[in-house]
Amino acid sequence: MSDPVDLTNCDREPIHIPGSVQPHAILLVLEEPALSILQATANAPERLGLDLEGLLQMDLPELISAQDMDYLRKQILTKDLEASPHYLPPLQVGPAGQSFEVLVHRYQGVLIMELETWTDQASMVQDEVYVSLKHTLSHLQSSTSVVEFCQRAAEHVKRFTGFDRIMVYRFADDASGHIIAEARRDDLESYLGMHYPASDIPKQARKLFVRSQLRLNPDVRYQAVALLPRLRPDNGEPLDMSYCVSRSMSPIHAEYLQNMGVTASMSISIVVGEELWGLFACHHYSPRYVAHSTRMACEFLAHMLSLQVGSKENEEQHEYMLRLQQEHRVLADAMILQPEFYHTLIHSRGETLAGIEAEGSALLYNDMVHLRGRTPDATAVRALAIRLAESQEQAVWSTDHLGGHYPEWQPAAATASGLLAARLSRQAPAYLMWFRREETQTRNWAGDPTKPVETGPHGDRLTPRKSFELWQQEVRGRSRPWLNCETEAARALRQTILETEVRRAEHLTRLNAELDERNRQLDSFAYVASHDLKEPLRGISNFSNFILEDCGAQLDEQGINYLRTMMRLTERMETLLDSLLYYSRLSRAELQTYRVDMNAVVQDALEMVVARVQESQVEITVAKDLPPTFGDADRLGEVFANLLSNAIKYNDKKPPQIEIGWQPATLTHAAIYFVRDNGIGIAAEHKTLVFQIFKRLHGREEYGGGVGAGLTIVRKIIERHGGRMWLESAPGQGTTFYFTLEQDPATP
Amino acid sequence: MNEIINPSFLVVEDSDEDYAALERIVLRSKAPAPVRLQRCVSAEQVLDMLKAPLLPDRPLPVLPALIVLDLNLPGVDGRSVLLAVRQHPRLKRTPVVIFSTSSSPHDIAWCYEHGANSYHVKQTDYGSFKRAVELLVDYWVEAVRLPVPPRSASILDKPDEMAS
Repeated sequence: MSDPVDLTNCDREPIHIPGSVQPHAILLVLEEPALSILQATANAPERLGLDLEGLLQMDLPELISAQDMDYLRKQILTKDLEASPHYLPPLQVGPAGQSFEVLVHRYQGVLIMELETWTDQASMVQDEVYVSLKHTLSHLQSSTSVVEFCQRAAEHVKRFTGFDRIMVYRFADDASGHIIAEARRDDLESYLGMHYPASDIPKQARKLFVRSQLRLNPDVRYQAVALLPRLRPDNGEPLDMSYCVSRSMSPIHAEYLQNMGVTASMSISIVVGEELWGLFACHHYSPRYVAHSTRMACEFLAHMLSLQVGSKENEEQHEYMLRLQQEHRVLADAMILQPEFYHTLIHSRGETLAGIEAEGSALLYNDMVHLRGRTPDATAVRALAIRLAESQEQAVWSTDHLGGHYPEWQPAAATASGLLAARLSRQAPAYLMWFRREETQTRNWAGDPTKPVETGPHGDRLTPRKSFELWQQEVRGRSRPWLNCETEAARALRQTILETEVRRAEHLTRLNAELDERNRQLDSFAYVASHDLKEPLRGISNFSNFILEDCGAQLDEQGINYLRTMMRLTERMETLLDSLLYYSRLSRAELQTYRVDMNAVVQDALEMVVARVQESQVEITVAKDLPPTFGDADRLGEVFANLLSNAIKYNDKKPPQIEIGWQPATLTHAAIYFVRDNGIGIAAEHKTLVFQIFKRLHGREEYGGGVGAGLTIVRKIIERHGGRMWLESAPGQGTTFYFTLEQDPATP
Repeated sequence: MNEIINPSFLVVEDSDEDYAALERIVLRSKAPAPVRLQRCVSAEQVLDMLKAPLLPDRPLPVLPALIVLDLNLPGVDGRSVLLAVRQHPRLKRTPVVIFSTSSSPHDIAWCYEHGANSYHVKQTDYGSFKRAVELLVDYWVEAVRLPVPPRSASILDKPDEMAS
């Protein structure tokens, strides 16, 4: 060992080759097959009643009885002891004939034998503590969750070993630890829920925990006993003590334990698969030695726990996964029925969307923000969506450290340290989001009665409190990490939404096609109808004429009148058909849209109705500065001509007066044009009727007849321009028709 | 003055009443020579006539001086007739006058584009209708000169040596 170990290099400390053991154990390194002793610890000669030189020239058979040797050769050495310490029944070793508890394993070509002994009966775990394992296991198996399982196991280990405190550590993916279960003496402060940073158990220590399942330090205040010679005589290497239970511990670890007031410690690894899942950490505030039989029980228990915990955890994850899938099915089924997927989501039940565990969730779609649970505010969520859209490629993206990716989000760590986001649109920043809070917890440390007045040479860094603070710093701005099944759930939901949208788009396309087809059919219906209807009309008109031409002389005046009425009716019918045709064509024909000077349009319209204007002696005032617009000048001319002739027609005043003017655009509406008259007005209940095709409010012969299609056509033209039309009227005083020619700014 | 002996019009019109009216007006018109009328009631009939095989002992259908065509025909519509006539070796010079109820700008444009010589919208009002037909006769029989058809010319597309 070159440099002294300190906190900066303890992750490089070669703890598997300490070259020494704890004083309660003797270690012998034996070379097979003769079992000659290559190395022995410095305490061996005295304990065995030999001198070192002699010992190092001996073979094991010279130290134990022939009967024991025979047992050893036949029952033990034939087994695979490779990297797996094997408990032996107690052995008397050496001339002194002292009884030892023995562990033996093979590693790197040598047989390593550990002879443990503990003389202080008071601090020795008695076998009576050992409770029926069978009972223990059945008790464990009835627990429902991993945490409960660990809690019960901890209580059993406490009962087996009598240690003051048993903790179950659970390692996170980042190798930080978390105490998920604890059984302790009532008067001790609880460490339950404590987290400590990964550095508290350095990487190489974790590796050793995977290798050897149980480590025991009966008294951490010990003086290490060196192995002699220092290096293996057969290869000149230090002895690899990875699998030695009594191997000397790291001074840093010893200091940590002493800072906590701990005198004896035992740890049992919980290995799931090849991974260190967790540990039983057993602390005692005075020396404590655990006999082999109890250790075996503990190891067995830990092994059972390993088997159970893996499947329990999988089961828990699996149950969660099933829950998520169930949630997803419910949403997917609902989406099929709902025209809009976001209605389904907004009205879905649960603390968060889709049952994914988080503090809050959000849905952003088409400028709509739906928030649920604890989330940043809508403005912030919108900003985040835009940020993600421009910087993240993946459809589903998650982080447990949002502030690490986007520094401006560091202040929001309390609500949004963790983010799971699924993008819903390539064009717009539309997202599903789940938020997780920062994971650091506050902890009220009670006055620690076991806390020594003095801490070791490294100060208070090697204390649980400092560990916890360090962990808090490390997880600042971090959330509980997202599980695979959670990102998968988000992905599945996104997929379902997209499929729903695609289906909806297809449906819309189909509807549009159907609508087009229907319009085409309607068109051709109107067209065919009017053509086919006109033919018999022509026939009636023509043949009435033939009668007049050929037989007019033989008819009296009434007969001739009948014929003339027939002919007039055919004309009226034709006008109706023409209006119908024109109306149907209007809704289909492309508008010729250009910049239009409305003043010129009104002049053209006045030309069109010039005969009526002269006849009725109407007074018309036109605003000089009608604002230009975009539109189809001919159609707009028709609008004014129609409105003008209506204003003249439905007027009983002398003189009729008409005003054509406009009102400027505002924030909520586009520019408005109007045509005002002082005519007969329209009763409130007729305000919508006037726009119905062929709906006349007056008798055929009143107000110059007409078929009642004019206003219908006018409104259709306005609507084709994207505008709207309405009227105000006071019966007897006049009517004003208003219209706009473009979308109002306030309408989406 | 262009002397045309008994000019004949081929009228393609499915409506009996319309045909009757047209016939009446044509026959009463003050044309210098009485106009002979041939009638087809459908596009198929015209197309068949154009493709008919030559039969011995049958008089050949006479080459019309003018074709009056209604667009709105049952089945295959008048547009096909216009196209067929304009591609027909003997008829492609013959004026085609469209008489249709349709006032759709689209229809009108299409017909001129495909070689119609004039387009009339059939009026329901008898006076206007009559005036239009009289104008047609006056114009095509008196006012304009038509291409001179070959002797014993027929619609049918036959080799010339058979004519002797």
